Amino acid sequence: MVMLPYAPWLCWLIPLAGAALVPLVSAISGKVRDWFSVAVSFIAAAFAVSMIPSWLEGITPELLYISFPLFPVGVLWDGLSIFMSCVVTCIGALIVLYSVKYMEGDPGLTRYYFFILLFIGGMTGLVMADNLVQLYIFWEVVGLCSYALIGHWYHRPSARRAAIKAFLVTRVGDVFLLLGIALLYSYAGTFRFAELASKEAYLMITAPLTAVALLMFGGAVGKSAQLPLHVWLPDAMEGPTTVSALIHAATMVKAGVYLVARIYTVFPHFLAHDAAWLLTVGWIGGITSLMAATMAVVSMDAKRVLAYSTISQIGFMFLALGVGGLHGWYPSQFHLMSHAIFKALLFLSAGCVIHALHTTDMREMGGMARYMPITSITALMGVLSLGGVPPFSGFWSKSAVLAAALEEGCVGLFVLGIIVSAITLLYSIRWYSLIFLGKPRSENKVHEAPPEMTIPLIILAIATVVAGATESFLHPLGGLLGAVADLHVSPVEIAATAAALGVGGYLGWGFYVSRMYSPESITKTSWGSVIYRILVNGYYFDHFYDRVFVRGFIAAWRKVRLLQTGFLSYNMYGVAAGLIILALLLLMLGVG
Amino acid sequence: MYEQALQAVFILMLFTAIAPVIGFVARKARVERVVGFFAFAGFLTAFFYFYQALRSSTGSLIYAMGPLTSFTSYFEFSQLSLYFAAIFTGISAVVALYSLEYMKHDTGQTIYYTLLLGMITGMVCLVLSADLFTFFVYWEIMCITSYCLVGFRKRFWEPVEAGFKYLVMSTVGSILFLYAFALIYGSTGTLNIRALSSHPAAFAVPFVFAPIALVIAGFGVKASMVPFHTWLPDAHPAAPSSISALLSGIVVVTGIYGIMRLLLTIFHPFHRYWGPVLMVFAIATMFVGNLTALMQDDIKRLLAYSTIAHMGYILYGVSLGTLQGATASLLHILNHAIAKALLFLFAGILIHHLGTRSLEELTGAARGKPFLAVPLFIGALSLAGVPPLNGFWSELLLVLSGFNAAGTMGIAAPLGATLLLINVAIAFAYYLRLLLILVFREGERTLEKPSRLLVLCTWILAAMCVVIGLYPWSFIQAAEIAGKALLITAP
Repeated sequence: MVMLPYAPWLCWLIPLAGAALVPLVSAISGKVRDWFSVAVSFIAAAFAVSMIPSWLEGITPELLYISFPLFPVGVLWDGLSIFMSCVVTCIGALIVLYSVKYMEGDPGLTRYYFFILLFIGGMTGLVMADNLVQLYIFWEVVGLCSYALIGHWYHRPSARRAAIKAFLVTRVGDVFLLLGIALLYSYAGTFRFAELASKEAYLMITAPLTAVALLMFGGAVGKSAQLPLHVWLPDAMEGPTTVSALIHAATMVKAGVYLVARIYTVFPHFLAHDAAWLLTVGWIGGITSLMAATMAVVSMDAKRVLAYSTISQIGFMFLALGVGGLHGWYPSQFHLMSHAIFKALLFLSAGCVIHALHTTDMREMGGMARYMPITSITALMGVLSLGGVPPFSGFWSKSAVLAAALEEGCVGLFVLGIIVSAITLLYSIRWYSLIFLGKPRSENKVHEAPPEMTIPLIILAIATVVAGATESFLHPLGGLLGAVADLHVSPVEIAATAAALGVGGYLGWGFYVSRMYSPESITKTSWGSVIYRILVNGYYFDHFYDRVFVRGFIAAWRKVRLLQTGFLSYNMYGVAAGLIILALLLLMLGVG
Repeated sequence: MYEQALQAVFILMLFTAIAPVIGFVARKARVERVVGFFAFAGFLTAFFYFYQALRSSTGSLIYAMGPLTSFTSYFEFSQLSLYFAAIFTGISAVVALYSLEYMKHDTGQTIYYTLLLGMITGMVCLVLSADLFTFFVYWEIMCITSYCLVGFRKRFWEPVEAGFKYLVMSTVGSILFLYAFALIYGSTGTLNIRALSSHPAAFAVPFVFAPIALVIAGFGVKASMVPFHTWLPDAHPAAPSSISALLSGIVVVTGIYGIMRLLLTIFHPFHRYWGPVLMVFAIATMFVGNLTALMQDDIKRLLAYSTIAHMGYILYGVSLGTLQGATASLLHILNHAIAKALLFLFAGILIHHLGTRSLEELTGAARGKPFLAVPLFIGALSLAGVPPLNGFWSELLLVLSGFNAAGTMGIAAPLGATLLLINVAIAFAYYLRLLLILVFREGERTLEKPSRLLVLCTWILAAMCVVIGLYPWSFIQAAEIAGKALLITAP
């Protein structure tokens, strides 16, 4: 099979150009604009997928490299980039197809499709970038798109607040990333990954690589919603469900995981033995994973549960990266792919229900399986995959992560991972049962979603099975990533996974399916109510930030304001004082 | 090809001189607006000539104005002076176009455009000056015209008070650096910048600290460096918005130019003394500007504080004393001038049609109006340093040059760059707040039919932001060549 011409460039330039054309096309008619966007995203996906055969055959095409002074522009040709660009464009294309019906009749559709295509193009550009500046630009473009899309329904105050929160919080992470880039550049003198990798041995001696890697991980923490910068992601559910699906499955939050995986490929020898970096990445991932999973158990919002589960699963990927070695690196990317598939599936399934009921509150759902058979079956497959039940992809990728943790001797992380697996299955069952099982709690008349919405669901549902169960699919993937999945699955790992699934499944079944026990019996007890309150308030992170940064600042500002009188005579004192400070500082430096 | 630049200078001077005559005649014929077109034509022609000269020439040319005596004033045409001249005339061409509509209902248009032409001529000539005395003369021409422009709407109290405050503080600044010039002349016997830069041995520590301190403080008033900035948040909002755009975009830059020229060209050998001191002031400037801007209700006051913060970023680049730092600062001067002028012109549209500067009363003014919201977004995000807009590149260069200067300045430079980035993150909050209030919230007063000409001006500047953002390389190169002209003494 032949690669489409200039695919490494066009797979991200096509969506970007498409985005620029959306305002023009919308002048023709709304329908043309919608299907134009779908066509653009599918063409981009075709270009991305066409790179796989050439890569597997080991052919390196001629890559255009534009050597602008200081900031060159180029694309990468390696397994990780190609793999990620395929995940992004394929999932993105399915979501755009789904949007056609889901967003029908929305007044701001031109803006919507513009930013959706820019989002897909930006994320693909991010993973194909061959240097850090290019990566950073797309990193920010992705942030900008998330801001615009989360705030798509800007007539709702909560959506406006969520959009600003997302942009601001991720920008805190971006400060770290940019500092890391600048620090690395001041030692290496280049931004290109290839040149950085070739200088690794030299940089290991001269440059503070641990600091660089930790700063870049700081950027990933912001973008991928890890502790303590995870607060924006649950609020980001204010956007349309398709946007949530895109942010969680393909773009945005995966950027952080990609970045950490990418610096790992640039400095493999250094980072594999850098305990400070590995411990930070692994434990931040692990603790985030656990805390987010516990929050998912109590949330009553269909989309927020999925948001917490994304934070938790991304934490799981960082846990894998923190395990170190190719043993951890490969499962993290495998889990990234399976998460992309099942999370897109779950969001789009939830979208069908939300579309029909016009609510995201799970207390008003229930019994949907009767009215929406296709959606309920695809959602079930997604839930089982999320819960890590064999033979779905989530099971294979999770056990790969756990096996890697055990093999590298990270027992603490392994135990953490097992606990998270159990809780994950519990909240997965809870989510499915509250929406699809039981008696309907809403009087709305509900029908199955139209084919534009169910076709992407069916494709993704098939993918959850194929991606995990087909042995023949795994090996090319391993080859694509430059690593063979030669993990030794130990009996300990199998036993622990089985125990986790057993406990999680039993609790989920008991509380939410057979209703042997009632959740209220726990929340009514004194300890239970305290824990419940902590979990519902998300461990009080939002309260803390609001108290310290927002209210604290305003109070301090009020006091400082009193100093600024605006009287000219006082201002002249300022000039005199400034001059004296200047003279003193200069004299101190001159004498000292 | 510097002859073109010389022609442009003459055009500006000539236009300034005959603008009152044209205005007088036009008023008799009841078409006073003609003088506006006249000023616009002057700026546009001058910009075109400066741009051509910048594109086509290398090296530098010294030109004597008038007969050769001991008081002859010299102009130096170099990539540096033309870089500034092109920015000044380019922005003022857009502002003159904007003023055609914005000042339509004001009386005294002849005076307005004459002052405008005079101010820009003064600014262009001061960056062209090859000696400090000529520099001072044109500096005062710029200052006097700008006081009048701040207080242009003299029937209101606020502009008059702000203009007076500006006059007093700016004059104090002028006196401070005039004293520095006197000290320089006393120790070297010359005021020629090129001659001064070639023998630094004439200065000795610690006596050189006196002119250095006076220069930083004196120009610091104009460059709104904390604690000399207090005139700016009053003067910039009080002026007509077209003038605020010029004041915030390019007039404050002359203060930076003064600091750059004196410290980087003449006192560069003493960088290890003034570098850290200037950096401390630069960082204080950023923090004061950004933290104060967060809580403003007056849209123009918010923008004025954001200008203070950006002057802090630019001064940080100067304080590094390296070519890369100077390049970053010069590029940021260009980017900030475009984006800040855009935002002030945008604020002017709102004020012109809705008659208020209070953000609370302007809530939702640009809601559901993409042709208004898009330039606002571009301007605000550009200043916030979001790629792929122009502000990102200069902020990136500033941070990179900070980390690269660790060799000469030690840990202070990367630390400063870190603080700069923290400031960029803080500033982001009020740019988003501005967008939230003007575009996203629903309010009672939406701008229904804004004047097309005013909106066009913001679109022109927004297009420049995007062009520089998407293709920054030739602009970085221009800034770098200008930086080399600035650092002629640096090793």
